[in-house]
Amino acid sequence: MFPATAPSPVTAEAIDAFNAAVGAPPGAAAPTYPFTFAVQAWQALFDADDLDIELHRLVHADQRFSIRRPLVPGDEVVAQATLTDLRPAPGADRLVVATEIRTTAGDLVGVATSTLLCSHRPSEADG
Amino acid sequence: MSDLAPGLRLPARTVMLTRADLAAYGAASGDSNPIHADDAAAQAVGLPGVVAHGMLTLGRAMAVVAEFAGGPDRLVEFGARFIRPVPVPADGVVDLMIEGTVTAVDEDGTAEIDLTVTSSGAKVLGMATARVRPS
Repeated sequence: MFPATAPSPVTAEAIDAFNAAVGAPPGAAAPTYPFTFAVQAWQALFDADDLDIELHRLVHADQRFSIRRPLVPGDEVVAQATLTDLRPAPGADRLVVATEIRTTAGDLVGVATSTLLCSHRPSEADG
Repeated sequence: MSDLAPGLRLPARTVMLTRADLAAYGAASGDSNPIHADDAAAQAVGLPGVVAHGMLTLGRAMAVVAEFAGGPDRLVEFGARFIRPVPVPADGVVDLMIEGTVTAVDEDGTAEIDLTVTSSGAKVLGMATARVRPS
């Protein structure tokens, strides 16, 4: 389990912008909105000394959500990622990252489980 | 969700996507991965060029489910595999068609929905499902 993110606020403006981008009406956050907080928790993977993961080498392969409670304006959200699987492979390693999303009040919002493919770095010999 | 029973089809929705839509999603979601904005960055990881965020296609699909279900807070478990990228040309538009079918309804009214999401006639999401609780 990696360090949790610093608390991040939910605002009506952010929800409405997200909803507009996915074709949902303003107001209640669209179903995938919690992912915007989950992905912040991935920074801990990028920062980890014993992993070699960078955002620009990632391709998102699968995404699942298990949601307990909706996010509403006024919530302060923290997200914490756990690397639950890492399979090295030629070309790209396959990672499964389970991210718990909670409010600072202690409510569990849900869990976002992501399968990511991380391309290896270009060979040094390629110059 | 009236007449909820296996076999019930959700109203199909078709969305037309441009790079402006990708930029709007990137800004709203905080996703700064350059594969969604820069052709060279996308090609560097083996993609044909700029592609839509998998989460944009999933977000669009689940927004359709939320509309059917009477609100986003009805969705309790949902997700998909990103099986095919959706390239978005710099000056063009691509379609995203979202269809769904109720596959099961539990005793308490919780519904299982299978989604078919295609672009240019090809499936872009795999194993796209949503579990929706009754009101």
